[in-house]
Amino acid sequence: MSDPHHAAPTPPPPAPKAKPGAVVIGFLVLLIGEIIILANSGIEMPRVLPEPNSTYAGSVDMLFWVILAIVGFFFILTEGLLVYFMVKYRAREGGKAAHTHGSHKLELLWTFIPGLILFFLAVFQTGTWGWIKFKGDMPSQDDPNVEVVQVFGMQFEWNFRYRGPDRLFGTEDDVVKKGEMHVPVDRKVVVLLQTRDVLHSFWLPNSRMKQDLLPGQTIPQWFEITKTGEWPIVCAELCGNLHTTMKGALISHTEEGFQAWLAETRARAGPHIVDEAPIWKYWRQK
Amino acid sequence: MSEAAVPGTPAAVEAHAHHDDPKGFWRKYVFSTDHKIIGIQFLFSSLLWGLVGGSLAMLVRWQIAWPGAALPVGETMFTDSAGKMTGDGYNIAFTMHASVMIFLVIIPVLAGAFGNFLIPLMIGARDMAFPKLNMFSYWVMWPAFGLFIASFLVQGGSAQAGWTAYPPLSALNPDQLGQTLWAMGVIMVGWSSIMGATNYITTIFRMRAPGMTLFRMPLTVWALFITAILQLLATPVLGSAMMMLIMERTAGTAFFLNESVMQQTEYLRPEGSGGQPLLWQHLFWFYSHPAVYIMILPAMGFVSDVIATFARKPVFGYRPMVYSICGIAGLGFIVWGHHMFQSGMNPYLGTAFMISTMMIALPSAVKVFNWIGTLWGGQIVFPAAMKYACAFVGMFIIGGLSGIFMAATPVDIQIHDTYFIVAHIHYGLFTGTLFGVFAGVYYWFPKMFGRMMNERLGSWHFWLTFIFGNGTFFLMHVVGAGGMQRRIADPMYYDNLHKWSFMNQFMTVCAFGLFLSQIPFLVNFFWSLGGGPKAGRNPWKANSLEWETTSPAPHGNFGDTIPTVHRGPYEFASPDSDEDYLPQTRQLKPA
Repeated sequence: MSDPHHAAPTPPPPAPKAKPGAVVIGFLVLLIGEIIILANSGIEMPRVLPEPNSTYAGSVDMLFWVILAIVGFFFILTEGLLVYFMVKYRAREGGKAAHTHGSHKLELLWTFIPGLILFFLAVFQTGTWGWIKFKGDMPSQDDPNVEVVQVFGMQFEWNFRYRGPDRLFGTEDDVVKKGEMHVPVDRKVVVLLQTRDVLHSFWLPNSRMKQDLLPGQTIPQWFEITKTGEWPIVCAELCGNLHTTMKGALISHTEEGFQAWLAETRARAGPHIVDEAPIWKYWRQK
Repeated sequence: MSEAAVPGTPAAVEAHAHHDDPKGFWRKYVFSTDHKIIGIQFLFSSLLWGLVGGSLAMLVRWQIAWPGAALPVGETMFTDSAGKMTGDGYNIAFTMHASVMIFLVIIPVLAGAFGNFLIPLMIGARDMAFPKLNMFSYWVMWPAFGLFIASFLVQGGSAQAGWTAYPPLSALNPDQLGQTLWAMGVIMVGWSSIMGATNYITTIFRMRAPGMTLFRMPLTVWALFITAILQLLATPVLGSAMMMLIMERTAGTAFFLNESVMQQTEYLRPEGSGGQPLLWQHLFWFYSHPAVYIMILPAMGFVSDVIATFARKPVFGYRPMVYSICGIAGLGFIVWGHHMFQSGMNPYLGTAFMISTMMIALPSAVKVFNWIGTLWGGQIVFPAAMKYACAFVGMFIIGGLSGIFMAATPVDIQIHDTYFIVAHIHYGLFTGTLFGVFAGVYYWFPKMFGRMMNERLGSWHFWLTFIFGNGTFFLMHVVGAGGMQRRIADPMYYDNLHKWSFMNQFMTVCAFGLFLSQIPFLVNFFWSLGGGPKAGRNPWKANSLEWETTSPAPHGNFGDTIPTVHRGPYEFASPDSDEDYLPQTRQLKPA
């Protein structure tokens, strides 16, 4: 030692006696407890996410809050340790740092625990993802209880087409509407998404439903609205200089209200198909 | 001797270093083959472009906070005659902000500036394996600069399809030259990257000093090494994709457009054209997801070195740190699909990409724990470099954890293409990478220029940047989760977003503050070039090889003999040494 007065520098704090078992259990108890409390508390969550209005919105939100709880825990843990160590181990006169190259046990601990949690998180998501997106859960378009709507995205508006009583698209009893999508509540709606220009993304922020539109493909998606009201329809994919203005409204009615709207719109249009959107002409050529 | 030396071998570089000592201003400072000069050239041009990219961000923030408020500039490519920002102008601003920051600032400053400057110094080589190729890798950046500038000047303005340039939007309007010039510029940057990467990999494999085994290399070199491998494997894909986009715009190919795409009444491609827009997204993200790690791994390396030096303590878990860099890089190639969960890609594939994406959080977490472990039991001092390094860790935690939300496919349905992802990328790239870069600049400035930077200004720069940076980016998580989509010019157009307008204005004010906070840095940087106190060889009392030579290092780096390496780079507080550090080159007498 260069300086005899500091021949015995303050010894570094002793390495914590590793009791991995206890640490792991305590940790998991905390984590699971946190999730259970959050899931069952009935506490009104801060309204950050837009008001949910579809059957699967609650499920998506639950996943959001679960992830927030888990990452929040790790956020506090890691940031806390970071700041605590920065303060506690700031340089002191004559002090000498601990000479250690690491700890195999700790490395194993902080590899396997986050690994397990991440894997659990990934598996935990698959149910909801499949429910919303997989073909298996897609309602059949032939089901009489399912409302099928064609959605045409174009720069910079949304257009919607409904089948008439003949349940066929492209016939005289179709109902066409620009900018507004009317749907019944408590009934499944299948949207057939199409675009003929650039990419758009059909986003219902309140329903937790988002799907890009691809030229050359018709992409089916489904949702079921649970509340009547008017909700935004947003284009979430950059589609040009007026991308901002590409918004629509989702108007959800009771079943009677929806049927009344359909009948009224069809009557107002008369026996011919209303071409509210100029793009219709071209689309029908193919 | 030089005829006998095969290019790229240590002998050739030895010969080059000894016999080609450059004479004259132009050969020495401009068309230099010295890796240190080339690194500094990259650093200066990145600083300059950083100002351009930052200014574009100010335009974006201005419009978001006060949509339609006139700027006192009259008619420009961004504004109409009343000074209000146009839709095209807004799209140009955010597209070019991202493109400039990614392609002309972050990638060049990490791989170009620090990679060039540090690799030979830290492994004990006299120069890069291919000094002329190295010079070329800097000078092809200039055509890229020219093309980016030209794209602003042509009719219709610069690229406006986002930095991701998704076709069909990016393939429409072939008469708008800006998008084509943009793609050509990106190809040039990619070319530079590939040449640089080839050079780094060869240099690290072939030219390490005696005793410098792979596992005695500093983590900065490891990070730059793995980054070079990523660049070499991924960048050609980007180049091909850009070439396809240029062909799509100029030669009427149908890689991405198909028979159903039309503009007004005209079909853009004949019947039977079967292009697929998703092809672009696959190719683009096959490069650009690894590029995310290209843009963060080197900064992680710098931070590891800085933290060890100023905690006066060996890096905690050196080998796990190396393995986690490799793990991030390896997994980085199989996660690109997480950008495409809502794109129309098969949702079953989404599940697979979700699992690989969740797993890539693991090596990142290991790195965070090890940085914290390095601080534990240290004797920490906090010069500006260390402030930035610790802030990097704290902010990277936020950027990493917010990634888990996006990785979760159902949650991604809601936050995909919202400000949540804008927050995520800026926590990764601004408070992450750029904090790492600032740490690197404050730390290696003495070696680059032989002078110390001013710590008081450095401290001001840090605290202002830290506070305003978080003020700018943190609330983006909230407005994003609250339903504000990204890339819209006017949030006030949406009734459901009115409640966020105060937050948007707050973020904009912080963004202006953030921009101005860089003034202390610039003053400090340029004043210290000539006016800072002279730095000795090893002002931080660090162990790695670059501190063995003079500051600044001479041409050829190490005088007459290459030093011999006896140990790893992080032997701080070693019981074998009287001091609290033990350089890699010091030979201990056998006990």
